Amino acid sequence: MVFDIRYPLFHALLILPTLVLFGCDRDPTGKDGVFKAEVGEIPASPQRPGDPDTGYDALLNRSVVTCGLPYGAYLKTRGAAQDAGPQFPGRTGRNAELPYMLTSYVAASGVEIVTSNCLACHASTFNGELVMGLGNAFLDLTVDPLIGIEAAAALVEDGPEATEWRRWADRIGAIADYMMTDTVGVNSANNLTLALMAHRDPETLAWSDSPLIEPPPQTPLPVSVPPWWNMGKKHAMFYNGEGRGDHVRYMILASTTCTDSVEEAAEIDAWFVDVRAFLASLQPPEYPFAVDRALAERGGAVFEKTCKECHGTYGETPTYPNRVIALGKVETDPELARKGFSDADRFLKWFGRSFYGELSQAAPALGYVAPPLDGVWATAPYLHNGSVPTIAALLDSRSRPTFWRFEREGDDRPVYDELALGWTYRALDSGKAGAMSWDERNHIYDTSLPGYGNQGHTFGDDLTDPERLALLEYLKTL
Amino acid sequence: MKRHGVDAVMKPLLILVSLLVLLAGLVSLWTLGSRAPDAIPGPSVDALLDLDFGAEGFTEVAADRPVRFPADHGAHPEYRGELWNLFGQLNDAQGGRYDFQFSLTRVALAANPSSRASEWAANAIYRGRLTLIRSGETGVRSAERLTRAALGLAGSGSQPISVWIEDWSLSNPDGVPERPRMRLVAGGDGPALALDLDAGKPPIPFSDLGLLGGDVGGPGFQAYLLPRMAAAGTLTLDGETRSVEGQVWLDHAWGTLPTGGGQIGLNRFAIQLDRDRELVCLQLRREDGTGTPIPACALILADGRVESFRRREIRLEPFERWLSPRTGVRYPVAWRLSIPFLELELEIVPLARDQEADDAVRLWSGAVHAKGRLGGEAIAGNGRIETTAELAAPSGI
Repeated sequence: MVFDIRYPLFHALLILPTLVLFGCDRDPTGKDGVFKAEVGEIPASPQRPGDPDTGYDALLNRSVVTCGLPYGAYLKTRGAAQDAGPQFPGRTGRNAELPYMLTSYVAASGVEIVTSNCLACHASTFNGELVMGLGNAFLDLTVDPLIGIEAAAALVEDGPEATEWRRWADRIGAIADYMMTDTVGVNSANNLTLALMAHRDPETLAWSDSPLIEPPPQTPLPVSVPPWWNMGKKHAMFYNGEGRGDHVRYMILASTTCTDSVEEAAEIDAWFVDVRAFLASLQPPEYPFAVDRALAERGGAVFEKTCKECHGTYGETPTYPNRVIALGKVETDPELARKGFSDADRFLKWFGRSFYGELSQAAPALGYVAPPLDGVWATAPYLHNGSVPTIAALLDSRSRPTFWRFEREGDDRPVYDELALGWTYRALDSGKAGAMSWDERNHIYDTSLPGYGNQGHTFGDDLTDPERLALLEYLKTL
Repeated sequence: MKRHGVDAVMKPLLILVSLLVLLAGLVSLWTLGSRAPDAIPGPSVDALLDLDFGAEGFTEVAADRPVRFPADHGAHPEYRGELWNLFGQLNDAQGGRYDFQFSLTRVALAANPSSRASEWAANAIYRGRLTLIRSGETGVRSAERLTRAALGLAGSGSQPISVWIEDWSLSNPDGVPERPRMRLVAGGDGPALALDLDAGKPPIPFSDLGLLGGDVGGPGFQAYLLPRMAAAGTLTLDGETRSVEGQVWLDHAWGTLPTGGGQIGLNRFAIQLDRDRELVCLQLRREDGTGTPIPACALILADGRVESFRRREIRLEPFERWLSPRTGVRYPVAWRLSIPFLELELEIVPLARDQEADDAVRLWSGAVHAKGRLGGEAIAGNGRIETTAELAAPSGI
């Protein structure tokens, strides 16, 4: 008998807008263990060295999350009965048989479990190829993870298997309401991580079934998963640049679903140093379609004039300014930055008191980092909340759809639009309020909702049509 | 791009166990095969079952198989199991009220009829169960039929569309496909019924209710509901026959057999409300009561449209439990439901506490009355709840 169980995908690594301590004299200023940063340049922080090759192997074969579905029960699911799908080279042992976003782990009880890994959010396909580090813009976090997890109990044997299942199910049960989004494609890992913090003692990391500090709101703000290949250039993680200091400690926050002691966290931290080294070495994919080189060259000149001040320069000797742009200047949806700056002090304190904050300092700024644009053509939809479906629309705010959805059949990928640079979408006459079914509602991107706004970043509005066309061509070369 | 492993794994789940309750009759028959069949009179299920009770060779429900009428009103012998379940309220001219449930269950023993020459060599067993509560009386009257399809004692077919067990039957003599007319006959010495049923609403595929993932009726099972059939006929109690009228709800499901695994319990609520509305809710929960119960509800409107609601839009909590003196297990039997978006608040109470469906399967299947408010106005209704037992939380976990 075959069951179709949906996995909770609760482990985005790199998108937490939160967090903390010590650091440079000139930058963030602190009060009561809470630090805030000014907008502008983010200074570099030393990173612990690691081995990228070892890190790649660990990323593909080791578990950062140590609870999950017992393998025996997994085998009874529809997912297990099907082809595991595309695979990254280097998956070994049992992992070679599992879909790339799942990792096998043998728990202390001896029960083999199947856990989620980083790649559910941080890998995706483009033009039929699986791309490491490409944010998954089609992940569906609107589905209630508890249905699949609780139903999986019917597949679990009594005894140690049931105990492992129960541990996993109870953890997800505590955080499910903080991770469910109302739009397919947007990510909630930031909110999820805050919810996990609320359930843990910052000093011992011991789990508490009831929250120890006030949890975050149950309506996650939408976040687009940024590409991993920018890690090497970025001084700070997260859209508001708050992830300063050692990056590994932020990355392993993704394990906090089931990391119940400082010793366990330290063990993961030790091998994740190599994973970070791999991520910092990651290069963007090459644009797989034709590029008009002459037109791209003219576009390069437009870029020099319009974009490089914030986004840097590319080519032989690239530069990247690592700047947080003030909300008043970028004018994109302010909710995420405001909430991270003003409503997150309890989480900033938690982080600062914890193992995770020992080498890092969370210092939110009231603005957004202008990201590096390497491989930007692959990373639609755009802005921190994924509200703008194509680069063409990003460069002309008048053409941005207020309500839209990807043009696709079921769970298929939309066709890539080589003119506009993004996934094919359809503009709609009405937002979620006009939807006739849950499925329809969940697939509508409604920019009138709080946090979903598509305003701002109007820097391309004054370009002429030929300039914009040339600029689009240039961006294909990055 | 072809959907591959990534999305296949994440596809909304289809939980077979979700139909555990809908298919209460099927489950009880199935579990009797592996548990003590003491409660069943006549030939025991063990005696009816072959030892080589394999699942091979049966058709599985394809995920995209549409429900087709009138064919799907008939039997589906190519599937392992099938259930016809009817319940409703009947009234007589003297003001008497009767809540009943009538279910017919078929479980195939092998995909191909046995070649044995024995007269018992039929390839399915059938079970029927009738329960009735008469207003003003305490207690539940019941009658059963259990037999192997042999010598014409039980069977089902598509032409004419009917299913029968001895002197019990459900037939589909005429009517347009979307508004069928059926005849229910339950003869014998116990409570006896003869009802003509006339559909008031078109059938609603279970998968259209959007409950627990939207396609619970996918691989595993397929089902539809036919609520609010107008019923007219006779009821015989204690040798006295009277004319009755009322409203009846039909569930018809077919597919593979549920395994009813380990830790999961499931409750189902099916209520015919005033103002031509029906409510169906499922609640998935751990048997030991820990964790987060997961309710899902659908309201069927007067015109047949369905509005679906999910866990976070629903409050559904028991406020009374009943301890079975026979089995010693506890069932949640009275409930409060609210769906703020609909301005719906209901209190659902059982007509009798002791409506344990079957001693062997720890299932409570009872007639209930509901009353409350919908959209600012008073509303009431009648229906059934099926609930699995609550267990004490295991220690040491």
